[in-house]
Amino acid sequence: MQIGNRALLIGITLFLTATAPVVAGGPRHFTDLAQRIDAVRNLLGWQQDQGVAPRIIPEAANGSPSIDLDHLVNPSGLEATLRNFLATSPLDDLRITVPGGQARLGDYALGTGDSLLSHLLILRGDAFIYGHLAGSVVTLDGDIVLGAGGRVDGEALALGGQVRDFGGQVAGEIRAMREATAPVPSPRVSPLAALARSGAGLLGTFLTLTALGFGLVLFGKANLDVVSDTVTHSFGRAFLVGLLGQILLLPTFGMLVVGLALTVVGVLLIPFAVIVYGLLVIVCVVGGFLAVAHAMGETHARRRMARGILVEYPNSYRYMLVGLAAVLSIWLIWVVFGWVPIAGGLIWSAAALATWVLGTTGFGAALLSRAGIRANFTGRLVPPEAMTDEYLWATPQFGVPAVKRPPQGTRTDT
Amino acid sequence: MKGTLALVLLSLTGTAVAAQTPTPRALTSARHLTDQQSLRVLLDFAGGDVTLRPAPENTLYHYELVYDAERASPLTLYDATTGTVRLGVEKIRHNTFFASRAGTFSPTATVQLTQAIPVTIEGSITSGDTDIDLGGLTLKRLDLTTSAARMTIRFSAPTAGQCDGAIIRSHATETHLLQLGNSRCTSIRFESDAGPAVLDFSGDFPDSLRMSAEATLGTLMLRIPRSVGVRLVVDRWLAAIAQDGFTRDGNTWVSSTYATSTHRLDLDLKAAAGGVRIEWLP
Repeated sequence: MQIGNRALLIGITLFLTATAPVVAGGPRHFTDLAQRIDAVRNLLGWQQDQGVAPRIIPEAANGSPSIDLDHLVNPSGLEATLRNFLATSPLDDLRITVPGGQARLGDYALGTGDSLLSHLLILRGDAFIYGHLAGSVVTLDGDIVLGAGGRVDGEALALGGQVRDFGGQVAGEIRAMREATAPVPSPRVSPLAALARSGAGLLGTFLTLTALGFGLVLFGKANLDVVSDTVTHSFGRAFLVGLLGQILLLPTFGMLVVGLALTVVGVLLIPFAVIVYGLLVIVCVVGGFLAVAHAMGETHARRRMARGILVEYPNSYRYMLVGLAAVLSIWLIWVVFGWVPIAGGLIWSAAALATWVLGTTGFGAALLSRAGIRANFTGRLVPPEAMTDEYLWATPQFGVPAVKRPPQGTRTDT
Repeated sequence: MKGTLALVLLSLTGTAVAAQTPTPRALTSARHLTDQQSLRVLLDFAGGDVTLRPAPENTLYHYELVYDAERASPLTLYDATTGTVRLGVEKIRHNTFFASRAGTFSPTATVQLTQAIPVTIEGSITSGDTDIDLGGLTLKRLDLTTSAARMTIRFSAPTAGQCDGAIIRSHATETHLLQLGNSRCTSIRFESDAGPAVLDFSGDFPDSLRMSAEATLGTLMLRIPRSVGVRLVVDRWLAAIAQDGFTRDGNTWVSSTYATSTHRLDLDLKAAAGGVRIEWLP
């Protein structure tokens, strides 16, 4: 029992002793202090905590079960074993062998000047050590109290309790393992606040990408169109090239640096090459991703137009906006349903995978078209002067292919 | 078929929820100071917050740990023959892909070390907040590596004995080395990458202190008492250095009081892709 509980118990007992005639109608109901203590325990519902009568646990007939206290290397395992003993065997039938020691139930005190030349295992009780214990002491659901002058030659291990040192000396390790209360976590964010926070993050990302995309349309539309067309017409090829590009990114960087390091002039150029290489990679990844969004928006608009739906402002700004919204809508699903066990993980995986595929494709398209400089690498196999995109998309072709792939060798170079 | 599928999903959900239930445990491990001549401490923390302080009298070491038994396991091992104690916590690997991390908590550790005998501290600390106070310890050597964390090492009081050296490496860590003037180490080496760092040289500054510092991808703040004469040997790449109070001669930067001061700091500084700022303390 904890010291605090005892102090409280004594305090209440003394209080009841003083007020007993008033409370119980006279002192005749209490013949001695023990009865008063029992009454208080009953009153407070502590009867179940009064512990067990101290006694020695007999040794097992065949030496099993046995608890070795010579080497206390696995306290967790020892605690599990002891608790298993207590759970599976009634206290009166409990038999434990401690080689070179003794096992006891209930509180135990080793008095000043006394010596015990063995290990000591105490179950459901405290161990008060004021004398000399030549071995180790282990308690389960009890404290080890080391009084002034108390000496333990081995180790002191309290399982489900604590070691309280009032000036004792332990030659070995002093350990205590017990249940604890978890540290107070930071205030939990309500689901609604978490949703709003994730939503704000998604909105911020969307606005940032939109601003970048509009800037790209404004200042680099020609390159954007080429990369976007490459995505549209050579999606698979762009994805494979993007995948390969990711794999070769670091080796290429290494080769570049090593190659430059071979010459004196090259060494001077390394810092610039490193920066330029990094910038190029960023431009290709971000620009490629935006080009994919552009291609998605453009495809969506053209398909609507093909169905005869009037699309207002069919320009690159709209394509970019629609494409980015489409990409980020996947993440919107995660924002809303990400808290659901299992499904949340799956949604996150799907969103991450889709984003990676689109990013890889955009990166590959940027590589294939040399960031939009190589205009003829858009996968267009139809001469532009023959049929425009608008014709192909907007003209109903019932049962007739919109365009026939021309035979090999008729590709028009630009 | 639908029923079976629902059952499987339900059991998976139950497993995930069960796995995230924390089991808080507290461990205390200590040893009295008897006839030990020295103590070597190996810190091995794979997560959580760590605090290190001087121990009360008559204590060799005292280690307290509150941890989630579902996710972490304590490390305590003392070797009396070598006078070495290994303290730390290791993570228990779970498949947490589908499990929410709500309700879990990081381990919190407090280590106290004796001041009476020479102590060598080595090890690594990964993630979490680390607060180490070495003031008053009989520090023999310090060799620490931290990653992805926030670390403060302070010498709140002068160390006793002779410190052979201190090496501190921090990776992606916000590092504060405070009151280095109290360290009494013959040399200090600090390496930092991808993280800001503060080197504070206040304290009972010795006649001379030699230190080397490397900072990559991060700002380095030097806080130096005005009474200390400073000589910097700088090797930098894409790093700006504030030069208030210094006279530059090639790669060497010397403060105006270096020639006359009774307390001198010689600092070899390597900085890349970052900045170095100097703040003079009164």
